[in-house]
Amino acid sequence: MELKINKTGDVITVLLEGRIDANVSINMEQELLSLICEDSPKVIADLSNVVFISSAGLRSLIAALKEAKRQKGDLRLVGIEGHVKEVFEITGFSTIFKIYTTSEDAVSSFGD
Amino acid sequence: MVAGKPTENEMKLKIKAKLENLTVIDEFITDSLRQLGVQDKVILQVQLALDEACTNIIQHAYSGVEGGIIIINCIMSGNDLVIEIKDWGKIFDPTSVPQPDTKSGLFERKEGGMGIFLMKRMMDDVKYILHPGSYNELRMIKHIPQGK
Repeated sequence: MELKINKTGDVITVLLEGRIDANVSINMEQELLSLICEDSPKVIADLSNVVFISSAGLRSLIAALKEAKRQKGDLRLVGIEGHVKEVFEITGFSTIFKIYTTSEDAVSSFGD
Repeated sequence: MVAGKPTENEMKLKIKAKLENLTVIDEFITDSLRQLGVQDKVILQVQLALDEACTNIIQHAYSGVEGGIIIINCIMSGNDLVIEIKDWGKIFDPTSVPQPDTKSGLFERKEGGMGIFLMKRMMDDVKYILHPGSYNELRMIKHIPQGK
């Protein structure tokens, strides 16, 4: 999975796309961890274009969130809708992540 | 890979057990359920349950070693959609994995168990059936409501 990245100050927005299954999640996790450690621990993952996420994808996001917190940052989410939203809600992950409706809200939340 | 329609309401996929094939499995179930007129929301739920089941087989029953085979049968029986998944790997009963605590916090949350939890939530029934000396079978059933 190639990640599309935008930077606003020290906040990095990562655009995730397509299916996040066990096959792509390992690579995605490594990319997110290296971003957090090398660039900035303040990361927003935009899942607007994600059509499917499995438990493997959720585990990778959790691993990235833990690393961001260890580095005094956070991994916040935007674009959680439809089936992806259903998966986040039934697994309780919607209460673990800070979730925003728009990218702008998510970026400005890091200034709070 | 062998995909076909043994009978009008039964569709079958025989595929190598490797993570790269999860997208092929996804396409198979999506196409099969669309042909049966099942609505997209339900298709996504079945897709997720099947993805979790096959990921378990690839990573645990076959321990990530390539060469294993998975056979998926998708059968419409009345209002019940029956998905049978067969493998010839090690015995791995996902239904024996403890249910995760979905209310625990980030650092307290134990890894594992989320896949079977999702399978059970997406489907109405999930059973692991052993065929000693032969194959392992995971059978999942989803009631398809009137109007599909």
